Amino acid sequence: MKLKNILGTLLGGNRVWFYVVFLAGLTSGLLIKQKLPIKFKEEVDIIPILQLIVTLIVAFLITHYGKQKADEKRAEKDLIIEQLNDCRKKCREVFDEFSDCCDERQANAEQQKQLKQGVRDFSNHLFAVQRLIAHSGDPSELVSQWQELQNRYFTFKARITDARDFTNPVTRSAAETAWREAEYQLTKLIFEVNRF
Amino acid sequence: MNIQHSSVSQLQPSDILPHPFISIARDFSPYTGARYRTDGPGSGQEFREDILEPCFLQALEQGQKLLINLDGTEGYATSFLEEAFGGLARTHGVQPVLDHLEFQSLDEPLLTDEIEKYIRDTAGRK
Repeated sequence: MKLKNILGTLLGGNRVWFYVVFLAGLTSGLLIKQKLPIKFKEEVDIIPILQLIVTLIVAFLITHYGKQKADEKRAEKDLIIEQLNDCRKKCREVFDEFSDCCDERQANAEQQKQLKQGVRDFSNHLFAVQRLIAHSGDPSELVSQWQELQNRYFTFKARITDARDFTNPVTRSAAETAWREAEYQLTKLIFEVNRF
Repeated sequence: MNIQHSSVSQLQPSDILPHPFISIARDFSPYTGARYRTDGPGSGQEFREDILEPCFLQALEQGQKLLINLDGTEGYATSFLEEAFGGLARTHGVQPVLDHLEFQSLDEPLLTDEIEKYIRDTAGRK
């Protein structure tokens, strides 16, 4: 068991110090009893002792299982956030590639193929996020944010795959706007995942 | 083009399904293009007029679902998908198209949602 109670936290989780402090407490208790003029009640009342034991057991169970559940939730969130970061990266890569085509004022067959492939990869990262969100129990706010992200992805895809006139500055700015919107929504979803 | 039905002699997995079936890569082109025929080869309009619509009408007549496999191509431009499937919905109505088309994609599963969106979006634009 990890020392994640109050004493454990105060001692930075150090097991040695935990035992030292525990033994010091026990010794000082015995010394106080022997040396100081304090009188303890001789008869033992069973009710407070039982209450103390039950309290300790409940505290242990809450700490142990509560922490385990929190760890599982954190792992779920981390998984979704990792996928969302992959999406951001892919989205950026596709836009950069598109931007290169705009700089060259044309996109040859190979570049168009790369753009379609990039968009497909982005789409598949998004699909992975969709499945993870579905597995996480579909918190309604996450689902609505996901739908918004999907719409922005469709707009981004349209700007990238339907671009024909690479000499027109509007082509780049429309794609850039769509990229920024998708990027913003991805970030928003990361924050939302952290909150749920 | 005739719709292909289940057949034991044809061993492709797609063909033993109980639905009429189109594979875009196999029956049309692995290199799909843009929206209109004037945009170049492999356009959405070309696919809709030459392949999709005749098969759709046959499926509609027979009360069957037409299964469309989207895998095996280089990828799809939005304009191709919108013209092919949105265009079909503009001509034949959103509900019949949704009722009689079924999509399949392992390469890019999100395509199914995307196409359904284009089909539904035509409702307000007819």
